[in-house]
Amino acid sequence: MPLLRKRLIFLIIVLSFFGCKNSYKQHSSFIMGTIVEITLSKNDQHHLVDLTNYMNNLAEYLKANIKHLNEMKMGEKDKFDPTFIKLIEKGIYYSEISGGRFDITIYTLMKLYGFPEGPYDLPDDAQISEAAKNISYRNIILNGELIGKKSNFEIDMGAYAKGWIVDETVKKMKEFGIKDGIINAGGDLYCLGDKDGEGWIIGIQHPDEKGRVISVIKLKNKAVATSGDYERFFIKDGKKYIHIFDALKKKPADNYKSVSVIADTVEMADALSTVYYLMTPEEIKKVCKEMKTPVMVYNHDNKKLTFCGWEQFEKN
Amino acid sequence: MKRISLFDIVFLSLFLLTILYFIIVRLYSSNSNKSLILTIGDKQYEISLEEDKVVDLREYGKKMKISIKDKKARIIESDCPDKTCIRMGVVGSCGESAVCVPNEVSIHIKCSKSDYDAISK
Repeated sequence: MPLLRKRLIFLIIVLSFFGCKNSYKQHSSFIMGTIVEITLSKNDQHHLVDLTNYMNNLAEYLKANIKHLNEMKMGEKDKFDPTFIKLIEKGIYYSEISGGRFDITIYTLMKLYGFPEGPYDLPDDAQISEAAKNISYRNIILNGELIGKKSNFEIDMGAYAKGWIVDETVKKMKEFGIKDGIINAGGDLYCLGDKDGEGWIIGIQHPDEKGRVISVIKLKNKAVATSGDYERFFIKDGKKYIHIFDALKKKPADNYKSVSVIADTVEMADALSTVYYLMTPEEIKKVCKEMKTPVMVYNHDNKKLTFCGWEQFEKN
Repeated sequence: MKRISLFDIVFLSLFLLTILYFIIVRLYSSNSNKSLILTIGDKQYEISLEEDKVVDLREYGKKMKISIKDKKARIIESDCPDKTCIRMGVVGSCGESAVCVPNEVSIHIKCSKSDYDAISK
């Protein structure tokens, strides 16, 4: 019966057309001091617990290593895990790219202001100058498996460690055979796959108006991260103090309202959004070309500046 | 003229029912039903935005209060040190959120149909 066969094939095609579209579900939880949203297709939901646990374990691993290094005194050295040493090396690499403005040892000063979680207050001048003496990534001595301290600095990897955790979790997703999904750690996110060919639609938050976005981009197997002055800050005597510090000036920066970066890894997007935040637009233009990372800067005059091909990702 | 067979009737009915089902599903989802997702640690709770009320989070072990008014929500009380979550103000549009990191509490507007898959901020 060729006619019957034709009709059946037609019916199957119609049904599969409607049925093949994956639907996605988002789940949020608090990991590493931020809210993490994991978007997976309904078929992949059973991996959620494993992925969350994996992220929690990585966060604990980092926390323990950072605590150990921060508790060491000047002149001391100790053996650390190769993965942690690699992360320290990355911090030094981003410091060098920024010409020393980005520096993981800035936490020595930041914590005196109460960052990251408050209560916030201004430290006095004596405290600031005492902390300033200890700050410099050059005081971190790397020697094989050993990390040594040339001063009494403390580190914070908040600018890129979250990104590293997301990247490692994306590797895990691939191991599980997950083809499409998003991991969004407090706004720093990776879009795995292409959402069944459609591409993932990502909004970049407007710094002043919660319900609005300043750019809409379409991503496939790419990361985007944003650093801004609008989420973690305090105001004292009419002056705003934000959580991004310039290590050369030894004080909080307030160069732009926000800086967003597209990169191949969240770690890079995350770190460079902070590094670029500390640079002039001319410097960003130069460095983003070398790093091959599209950038969008939203300045204090509410103007959008885009560099290195950001527009190519924008959805019309 | 060709006679309509039983198979034709079954085939057409199945086809029309399929189309009807997807039209209903699409119409329903395009209504963009909004609700509030409350995240506490790794647990999530869905709260209706239809009724104005104050939700006390003491029953979840948190010294926080959330106000729901005119289908919008905001954190109005929190014992966290920096009060960033209170300063984050009203959340009402799809995807908007306010987060209290020290207490591990967030409120988030979930819509059945959102313009974005995620927000970078």
